[in-house]
Amino acid sequence: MLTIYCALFSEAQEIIKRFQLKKETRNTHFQVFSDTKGEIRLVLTGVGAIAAATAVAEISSCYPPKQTDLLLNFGSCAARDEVPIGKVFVCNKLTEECSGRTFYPDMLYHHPFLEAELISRPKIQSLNEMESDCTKEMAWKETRLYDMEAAAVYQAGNYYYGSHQMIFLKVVSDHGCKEDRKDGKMTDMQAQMSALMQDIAEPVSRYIETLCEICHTKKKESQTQAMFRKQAEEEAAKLGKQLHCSFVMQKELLQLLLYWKLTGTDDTEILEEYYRQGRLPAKDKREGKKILDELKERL
Amino acid sequence: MNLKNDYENAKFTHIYVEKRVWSHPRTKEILTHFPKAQIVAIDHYKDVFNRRGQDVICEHRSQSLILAQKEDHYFYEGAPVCQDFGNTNFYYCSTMMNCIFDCSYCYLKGMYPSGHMVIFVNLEDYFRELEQILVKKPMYLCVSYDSDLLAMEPLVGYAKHWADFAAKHDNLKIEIRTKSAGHKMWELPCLTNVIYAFTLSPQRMIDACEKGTPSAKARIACATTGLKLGYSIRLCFDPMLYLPTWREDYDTLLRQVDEAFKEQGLSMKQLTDVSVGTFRISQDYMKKLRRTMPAAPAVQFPYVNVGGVYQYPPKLLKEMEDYLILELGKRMDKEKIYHE
Repeated sequence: MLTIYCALFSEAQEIIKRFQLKKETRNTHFQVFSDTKGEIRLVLTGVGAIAAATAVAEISSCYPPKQTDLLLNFGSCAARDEVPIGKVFVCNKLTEECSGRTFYPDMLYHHPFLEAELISRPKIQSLNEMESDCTKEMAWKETRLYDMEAAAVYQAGNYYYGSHQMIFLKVVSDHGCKEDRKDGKMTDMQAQMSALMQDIAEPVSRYIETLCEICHTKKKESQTQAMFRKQAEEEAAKLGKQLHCSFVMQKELLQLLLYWKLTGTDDTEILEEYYRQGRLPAKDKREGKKILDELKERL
Repeated sequence: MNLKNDYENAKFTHIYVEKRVWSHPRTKEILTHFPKAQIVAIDHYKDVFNRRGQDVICEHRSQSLILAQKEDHYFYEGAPVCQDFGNTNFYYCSTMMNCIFDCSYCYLKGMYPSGHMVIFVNLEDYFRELEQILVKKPMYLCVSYDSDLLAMEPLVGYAKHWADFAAKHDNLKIEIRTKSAGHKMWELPCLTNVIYAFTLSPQRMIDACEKGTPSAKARIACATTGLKLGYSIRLCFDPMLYLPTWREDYDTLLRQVDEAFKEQGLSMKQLTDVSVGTFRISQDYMKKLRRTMPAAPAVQFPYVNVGGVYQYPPKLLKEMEDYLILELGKRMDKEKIYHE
């Protein structure tokens, strides 16, 4: 499953609409939307690091992610003037400004967007702060983005997800907070955000679909492997009883059966021989050990 | 469904560079090979390489490169599971961590927390420390254990640097082990104290377990070409891996070796030596390998744990090693066949 974390409804509404997500009735501190196929869940975290980290922790505890699941943090960010509004970036580096800690989500899947470094700050980015920051250490040319949640999402998410399971997708919504903007009405800002998200909805939706396909493919692979192991475990449990296996013998038997299955060895034919000879079930542990040793010899 | 073809990045689309080596000439040189790569500046390679909860297998498929500076511990004493070929002062070093090849049984997948590849660009610091050691004692040094240096040669040229260094130090003997078979390999210096060691596996095993590596035929051809040109060549039948057809497979491999030597007018007696060893791996690495590679037969084989090292059951181990030692003994002096 893909779980998408957005700070604001205006950032999420286009995704909710396009993927026909329905609000979940489960009682959490956060609004959660999901599809009927069980492929996408979208969480509204609210603004800021603490809200984001809490949301990731609470939702991940309610719905513990599997190895095959992905986390997507999607939302708006600020950038310097030269980066056009509406440009979408995948973030390959997240820095939490207040602690100075940097995190690197794995970049394993290809995507149609540009990549950039993102700095998470506890307050809305001002133009002046952004400009002074960019003059500091830019020997390595990186586009820098600014938001308030990503580093927190990564840190909280890393308790539940690996660095290869978290993706940070940000769209540039402004060039820093200017004085005149502070006086702007909230409704205007929301409308602007909604319009922006509508503009980029197409490529973002396609990317989300791709991420869902990745989850689906991985899930199928994982299910096949789990089923395979479960089969071997069941067989080992049954045979282990007949061999009076100790804990260690049981482990050895399971490993042997797993290997046989992987290499396509027909173990039923081998075991049938023992049943025919009346050696299975074994009369005691000693006889069981002898049979197990013989089985291991038949590799 | 093949995830690789559909969604995953190719190798080295992303290169992480430590800020302190940003201006290093070797960094710049390596980066010229990847004009389209996304470059990410990092403070320390461990910020990427040692992250919590990485998926080594996924990362290996879409391997990123990390260019870094090694700060200390340039040389390590050889591990007991590794052969010293009768040499004293057996050491190894890691100028790279992780390998470009994708062998399913590789201990690196169990040893490192990440599947990405690190290249330490400050090779000169290794040389500086080695100079000091060599003043005090001779050294047998394996430089290509935790990676395949020769496979990366077109990119970094480290084998050449090591050979050039060895040329100036008689009391240093180096081994460069590889599964590669590059034609330009023999433009490298030809020295008695630089041993080019080729790991040979039967083709069936290569197909099953050694993804991305050159064929048995190509490796043998490369090794014999080197030998013909006067290079010190070692053949490593190590690790020998069990397949139900192992005897037939190693017969075929030896036949390929015989043919290649005959074609070049060579004898196996001209080899520096050969090594024979069945697969063995520390229990800690195996534990991780088994978890991460549930569908790899070479990993899921029911090995036995002998003193913390997983290996084949004693009878099978002896049978496999004895067989190969016997066959090799027909072709060369027994003193040149090393095994544990």
